[in-house]
Amino acid sequence: MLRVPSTPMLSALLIFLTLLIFALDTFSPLDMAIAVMYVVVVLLSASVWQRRGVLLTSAVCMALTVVSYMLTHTVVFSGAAVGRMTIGLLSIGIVTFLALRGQAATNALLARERALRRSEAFLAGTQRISKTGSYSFKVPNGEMYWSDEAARIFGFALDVAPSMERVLERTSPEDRNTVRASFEQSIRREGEVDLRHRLLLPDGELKYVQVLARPQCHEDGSCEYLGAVIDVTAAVLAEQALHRSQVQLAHATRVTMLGELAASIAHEVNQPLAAISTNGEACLRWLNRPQPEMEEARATLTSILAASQRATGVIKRIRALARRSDPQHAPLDLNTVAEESVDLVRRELDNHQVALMLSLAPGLPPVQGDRVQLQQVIINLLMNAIQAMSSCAPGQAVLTLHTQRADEGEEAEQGRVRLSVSDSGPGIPADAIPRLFEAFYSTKQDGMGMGLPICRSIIETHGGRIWVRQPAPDAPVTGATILFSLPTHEPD
Amino acid sequence: MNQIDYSDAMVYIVDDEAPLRDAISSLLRSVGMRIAAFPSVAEFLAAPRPDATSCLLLDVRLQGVSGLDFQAELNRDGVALPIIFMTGHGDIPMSVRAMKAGAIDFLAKPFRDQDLLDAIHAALLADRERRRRDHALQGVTARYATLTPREREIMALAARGLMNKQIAGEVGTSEITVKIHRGNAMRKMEAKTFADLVRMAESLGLA
Repeated sequence: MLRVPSTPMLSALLIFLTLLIFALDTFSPLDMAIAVMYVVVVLLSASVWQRRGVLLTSAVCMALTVVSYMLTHTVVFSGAAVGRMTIGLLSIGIVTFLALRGQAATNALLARERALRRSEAFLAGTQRISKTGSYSFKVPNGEMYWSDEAARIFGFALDVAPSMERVLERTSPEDRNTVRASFEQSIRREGEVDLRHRLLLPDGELKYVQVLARPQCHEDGSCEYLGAVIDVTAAVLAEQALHRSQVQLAHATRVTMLGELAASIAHEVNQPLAAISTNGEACLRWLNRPQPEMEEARATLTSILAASQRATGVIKRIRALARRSDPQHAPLDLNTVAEESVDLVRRELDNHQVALMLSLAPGLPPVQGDRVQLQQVIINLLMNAIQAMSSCAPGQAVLTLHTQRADEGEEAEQGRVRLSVSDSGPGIPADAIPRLFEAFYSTKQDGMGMGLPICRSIIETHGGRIWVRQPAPDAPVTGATILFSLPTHEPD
Repeated sequence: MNQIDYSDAMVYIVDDEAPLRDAISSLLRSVGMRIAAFPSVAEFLAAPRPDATSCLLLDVRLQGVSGLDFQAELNRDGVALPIIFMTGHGDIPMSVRAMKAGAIDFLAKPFRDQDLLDAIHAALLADRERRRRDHALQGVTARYATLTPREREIMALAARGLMNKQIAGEVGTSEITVKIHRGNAMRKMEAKTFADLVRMAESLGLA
């Protein structure tokens, strides 16, 4: 257990010192307890060797003391000499005991320090990897501490002392008021902190951070918020990219859908145009009579204005569907959205000899959503239903669009508004149902398999859900029903 | 002969789209036509139709029953009303089918007013002609009823182009008797010439 082979000087010194003390003890004429000097050797050995080394040294020293006594005093018994030897032995023993205890304490301390260092290294490493900084914020005095990673996230040097002002300095101007309000809320000790905001670093880098903190109050009345600052930039950017591609995909399928509706749309525009031109001709003829008929002419002009308004309305609606814009979330009446959607497919219904049953519950609470995207969903469901009934006998094709409050039934549906589209077609084969909302899965010959997946992603971004309901096995009607429910908008 | 007094004629319009139906109504009234407009075939059928020269302006795609099916139904029922079809998106097979079934014209919306008025004019002319023929046929039928069976038999054989001698052989009588019966038939049928008599026999389906 000779721990320090790297200190041969010290070992040599110890051996030399031991021999010197032995020589002095044995050969000097002084009647003193020179053996007491061995404690120096024991103490020094404790700083060089571990427990066994120290015990060995102590034993050697004791043995030398006894040898020295025997060499000098075996012939003549001297009580004083025995006393000196005893004192020497006792001192060596006591010092050995104390030195070992001290050494054990030091060892324990060292071990603790090592553990602490390791755990700090762990913490710093994981903080670095997970981009999570920790901080504490004392209230009410506002004293702050943060970890190195927190300093790095905020873009400060590691030796910069953190403060509320420093945090606000790096917060992007748009979010500064929110962050300041959150700090003030903490100072008032009002609850926990859970905040996502942006940072604008001096080099122009934009970061998103999620801040979570919880207060810990002490007996003296002071409180400290312990929290974490997480750099969620990567997640937010991925989320935004996903959102963008979802918007683009929704737009692309919407444009495809408009293509399928082209004949209907042309008719919807053509019809008012025909009315306008015929009314115009009629107007001229009323005016060109020998006795101009002003009342009749006025009536035709009124009709012209009404028809042009109708055409404008249709075109506006189409343009809204064709435009690629970010979803605009606003409170909407689902019934109105449904009626507008039906208007765009009315011709398809006529062309396919499909009867429409529109049952809209009056007084539905508004939903929060994007008009265009919800129209897209409803039109898509209507078109699917129309196509599903292409094999129906004449007069047998019935499409039902139903809106209602989803108060009854499951707990999760409480307070939602529900819309369902049912057809009287052959229904969906049971094995197709689980895959219905999968991308690129289609039961149609020329289907892209994007309609329902897009519907689902739109409904889900609106916080709703969409599902299929099969008719009961003993139901007299066949056909599929697709439903979606949306949470209602609660005014702030 | 090609002039029509519109105030005596009647134009029926069946179109489920109110704005265009009203516009056409106004246009036709502005040129002095009498019109009756209906949103559906059922309402058209339920309405009384005065005995006048008339035609029907029919939208091809109607809610419920299609214009073409309705045309076939009218033909089956022997309602000989000239039909002008209107369509928002006419396709060739559809127009061929309509014309084969006896439509006067096939107009794609939006149409020029003059095209519509010309088509209606043509339809009314055709209807007047048809009514005149029907009227004439009614007279012929009434006069034919006054003939004796032997006179009818001889009229039919003569119209088929048989000589008096052949007819006499056919019915087993003398040539003189045939001549007398034939003269009676000519007189009773008010035929000025033999050709007139043949035409009447044709219209009655004898020849």
